[in-house]
Amino acid sequence: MWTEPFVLRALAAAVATAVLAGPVGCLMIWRRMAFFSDTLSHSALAGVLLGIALGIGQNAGVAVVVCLTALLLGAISDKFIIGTDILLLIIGQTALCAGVVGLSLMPQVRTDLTAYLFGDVLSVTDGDLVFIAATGSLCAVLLAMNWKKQIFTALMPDVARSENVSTGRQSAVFMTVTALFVALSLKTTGLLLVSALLIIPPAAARFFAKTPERMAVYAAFAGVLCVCAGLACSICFDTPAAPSMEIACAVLFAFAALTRRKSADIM
Amino acid sequence: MFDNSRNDILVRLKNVGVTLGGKTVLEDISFDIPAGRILTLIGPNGAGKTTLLKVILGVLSPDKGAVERKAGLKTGYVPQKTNLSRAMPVTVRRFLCLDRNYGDDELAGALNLTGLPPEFLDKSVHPLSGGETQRVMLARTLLKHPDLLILDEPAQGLDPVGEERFYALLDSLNQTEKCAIVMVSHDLHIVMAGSHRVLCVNRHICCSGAPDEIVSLPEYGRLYGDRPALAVYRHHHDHRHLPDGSVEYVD
Repeated sequence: MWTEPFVLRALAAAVATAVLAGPVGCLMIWRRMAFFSDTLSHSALAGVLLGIALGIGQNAGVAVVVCLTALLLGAISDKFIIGTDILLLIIGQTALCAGVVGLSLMPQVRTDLTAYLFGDVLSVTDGDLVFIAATGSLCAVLLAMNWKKQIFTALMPDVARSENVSTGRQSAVFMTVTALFVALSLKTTGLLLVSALLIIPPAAARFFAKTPERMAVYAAFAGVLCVCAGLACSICFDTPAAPSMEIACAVLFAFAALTRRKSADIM
Repeated sequence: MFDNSRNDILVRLKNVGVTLGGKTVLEDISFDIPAGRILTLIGPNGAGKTTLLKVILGVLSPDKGAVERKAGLKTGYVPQKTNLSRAMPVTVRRFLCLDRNYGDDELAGALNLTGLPPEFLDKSVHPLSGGETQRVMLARTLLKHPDLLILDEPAQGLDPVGEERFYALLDSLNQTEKCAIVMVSHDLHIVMAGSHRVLCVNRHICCSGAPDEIVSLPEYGRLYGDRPALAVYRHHHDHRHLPDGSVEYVD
């Protein structure tokens, strides 16, 4: 059972997603943009439709639509008096509903809405793995090249700008990485649970880390632990995979919060 | 950029004007920042002092006029409020290495210049007191050996003793590191003792001069009119500020 190809593919997809979720989720928390990934993932269903309509495949369609949504959000998010959080909610909910309505108008497409909403990691194909490897590598390269500047910008944007860091460019890098991550994690977590894997492991890691780098590494380890536990639970007890992973994340977070280090070096 | 004959001037502002959101924040600002001098900006809240600092730094481009910087000028900036997000765990060592990595000796040296022991390197920045945070911020800029330090109300939130120590520290850095300092400050008694030149800013430059000259100027008296100890006497005014923020010239 454990060495069946579909289990190994699921494990590869989930572990790759969880490793990348560590640093990406940390950046999201540091920039106080935890809702950003939620809004992006909600637009993914429209991307599935686009992929089918254009015949370029669902993954490519999702990547295109999510990246476009990220660019749109980046361009307009500062210009509304109502606040970015409200705007994110409006766009996210609308994008989700547009996807669901659009899907209902395409009866020729046989779809399982639950698979899109909550993921379907046990049905990951070799093609999906190639897509995850490609987008994941791109994310990793972008992160590695900009890591120091990302942290500088997140902590003190004005000072970073005064030292010739292009904060606009760093925001664009952040949004692109997030969008690519959302696209690659869709198969594992589903569009409703992308944010859980992004946010909960870094939040747990914050209790133990002294530096931003350690927080990202701890978060990646915690994420891998949680997706493996969730996947094992799913295989043994036939529970849905992504929700099982989320519950594993929540258990880990509760454990971290209860056993956190109270040293002044951390807080 | 400057030619060599002008290399004692670090930054030159020529008729700088800034409009933010349709509102004129600064107009017709012209002055030089000479190497090695301490220049203090004073003025009421909303006078455009922070905006002026950002123009000097090059973070903000002026809508009118020009800013000329000496070629290769290195600046260090300590902003007014540093709400370091507690969501990010940061040790002092990591904080000092935000832009690039430095060796432990360099880091300890920079901390030492600001009067902090090397044990601070492994402390988290979040529980530090206001004075310690300002010193760490300052140490970070000193690692780059700046020609010009730009400080926005650096002693804000410090108690009187901490405040005096901090300004004494700036004074000694000005002497030992030979860096010019431009700062915004409301601590008039200390400013008057420690600055080479004071600029009163209220959208434009109301008046400027050496500290002992400036207290006798009428424009200074108007800016701090409710503090008779500082406003020594008043005589003829060449302009006054109307309630909408515009300036009416009497002459």
